[in-house]
Amino acid sequence: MRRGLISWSKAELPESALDARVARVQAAMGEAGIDLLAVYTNPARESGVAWFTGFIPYWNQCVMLLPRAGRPTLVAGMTARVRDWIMRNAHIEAVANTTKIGAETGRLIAETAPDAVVAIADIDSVPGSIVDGIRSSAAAVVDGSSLLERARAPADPAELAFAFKAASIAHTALANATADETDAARLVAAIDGEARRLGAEEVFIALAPDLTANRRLIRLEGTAPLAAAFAARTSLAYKGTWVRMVRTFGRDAMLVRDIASAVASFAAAVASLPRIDSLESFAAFLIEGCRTTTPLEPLAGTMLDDQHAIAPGTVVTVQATIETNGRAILVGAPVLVGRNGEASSSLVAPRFDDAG
Amino acid sequence: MLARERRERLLAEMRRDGLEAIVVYGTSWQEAYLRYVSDFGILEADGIAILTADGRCRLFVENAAEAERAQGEADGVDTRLVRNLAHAVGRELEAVSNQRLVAAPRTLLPAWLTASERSFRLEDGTGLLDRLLMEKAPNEIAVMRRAVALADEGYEFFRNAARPGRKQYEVVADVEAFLRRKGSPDNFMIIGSGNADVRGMAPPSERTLKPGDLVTTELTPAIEGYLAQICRTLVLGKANPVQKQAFAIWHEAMEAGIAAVKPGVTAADVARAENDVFRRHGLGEYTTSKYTRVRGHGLGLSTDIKPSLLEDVDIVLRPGMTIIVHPNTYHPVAGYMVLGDVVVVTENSCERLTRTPAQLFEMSA
Repeated sequence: MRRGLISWSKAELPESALDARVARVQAAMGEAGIDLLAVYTNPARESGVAWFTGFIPYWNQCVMLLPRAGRPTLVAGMTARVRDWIMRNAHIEAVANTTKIGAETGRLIAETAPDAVVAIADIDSVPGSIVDGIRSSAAAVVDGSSLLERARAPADPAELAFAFKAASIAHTALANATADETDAARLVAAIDGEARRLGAEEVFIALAPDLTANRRLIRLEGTAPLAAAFAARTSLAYKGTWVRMVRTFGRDAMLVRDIASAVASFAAAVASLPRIDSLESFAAFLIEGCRTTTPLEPLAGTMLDDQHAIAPGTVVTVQATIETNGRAILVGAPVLVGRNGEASSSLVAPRFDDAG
Repeated sequence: MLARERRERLLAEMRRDGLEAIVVYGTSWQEAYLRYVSDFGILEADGIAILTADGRCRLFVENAAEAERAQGEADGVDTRLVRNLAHAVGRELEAVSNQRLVAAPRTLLPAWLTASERSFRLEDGTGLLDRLLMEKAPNEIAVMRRAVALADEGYEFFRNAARPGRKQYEVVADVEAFLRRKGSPDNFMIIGSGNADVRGMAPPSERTLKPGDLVTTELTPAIEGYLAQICRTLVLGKANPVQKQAFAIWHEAMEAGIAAVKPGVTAADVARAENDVFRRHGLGEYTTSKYTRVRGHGLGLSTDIKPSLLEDVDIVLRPGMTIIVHPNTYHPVAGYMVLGDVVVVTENSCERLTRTPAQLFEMSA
């Protein structure tokens, strides 16, 4: 549940930018014969509705209904007491507050667009109670995922600006920690607090407290001692746009040199995205991005059997485990995927003062 | 140890009811069911766990970072990263489709899993899990006590962090850092600041705290997945007579609610005890959903488990339930005010766990 900064800034995300996104999708809906697009959101699936409206649910769930013309309507699971807050923070026509979201969505469809063909983005992930409510009133229900995916790529300037801001916060927060720290709870506090003070909507910190023993990044309960080599991953959102950044910390000079070398290898490898062959030489890698409604969806990597397309002009997050002199070094950063033959590059280089 | 105890308790219930498997769904705002079964505190995307009668627990997640975390954090659970959660879980359930299967919370399951064309049928097992989530074992209550103590500490920190000139989100950032230093990995928190213009609490905004503001918060840190809440209101400066009079009503309502908590009464009885105080003071309108969500709720593996304290909720209170009684609502002159203490239902009445004084704090402006 979100507890960082949530507020729609019209300077950062002008109404015109949201209107342009809506118009792009509505044109695609017209071509596909779709009357309404339904997009589900909750705090873990915020990226679809946030992209259309700027709205981010701090808890609970909502459905956005986009007609072929006009602004979207939100059916929200929060009670009417937060209606004003929603209207201040969302570029929508109206909000309906209800605890029965599926039934209310169905009622709205029956009232405003009977016999409509309704597309549902990421239909396989949407709760049955909501899909059933839509089905009860729609003439036909189809999967709207590919329509939304096509409309979202490449990222527009407002989305890129949020990604750069998120990357900058992640880098500054990780830079607020030092390799000299020996207590995991203090390290997490330094990173988490700094990210939130810089305006992060949400922050998740994962640690590998002793990289020589275990390179797995986990969320700690309580605390743990930090070894001579450890790593931290910051996953954070700024106004609905998520990125991850990973930093390895080392106390000895040789490790610091190895970290710098790994960071350079990482930069060289990500430059060739959307091709992934350079990353395949690493011990492990993972590429994540938002295609439709879910932030940081796995697109390609050593943990995956298959690969989703990596769209030029979008922002993805890349993580890599790079073995240097027999030691694992974890590196990660958000990357803008190049278009028209341009090289891809990290939004902020995952380089820190004491790591080369 | 707690996770194993929970799972054994659930397996005993499954044996009693003749269930072959229970399927639980979780996401960051509905994490309790998944946490109860798998001991994994999900943060990103969705997860589904299948616990079978032989004690095997399989966890399916869609997010790669979550898969890595679960492999390191959830003991005794077989974790799998999958592309399509519904299809992956469905393939597993097809193997036991002739057995009795239940799901919780069934309404949030992906539509594909509950479609009539599936070879398996998932009955609604939400009630079973809800009962286990509500009626806690002694070891769970022991963790809740620690979480309540941390909420008390967290509020003391908040009181001093909420100073004029600071933005709401900066104050919350400081509290979060304080809780991380204390080793608490999670917290839920909303905030309000201002006066009669403020109708409720929300996630922190850029609003700057000013002298004279009422500052409200609901702060909910977690220990081992168990979340405990505190609700308090402070004034930046000296409280004015209206604020003091209003707060006295909130205090009276909270005490009336807590006095009503005992085994055998319903959630509605407690809500009514709180609301009757408002009605006596001519503020009954402000107990409706236009101004307030609930008059308290259960706490545990989520910040908001059953029972909701509302006048139409007939869940009977039983020993082991941990509840926050909070008559939070809007006052037409003073603005939105909050006050809430955590209690545990005992054999005969209840025990208040919150230690922070139930007062309207006045902080130097």
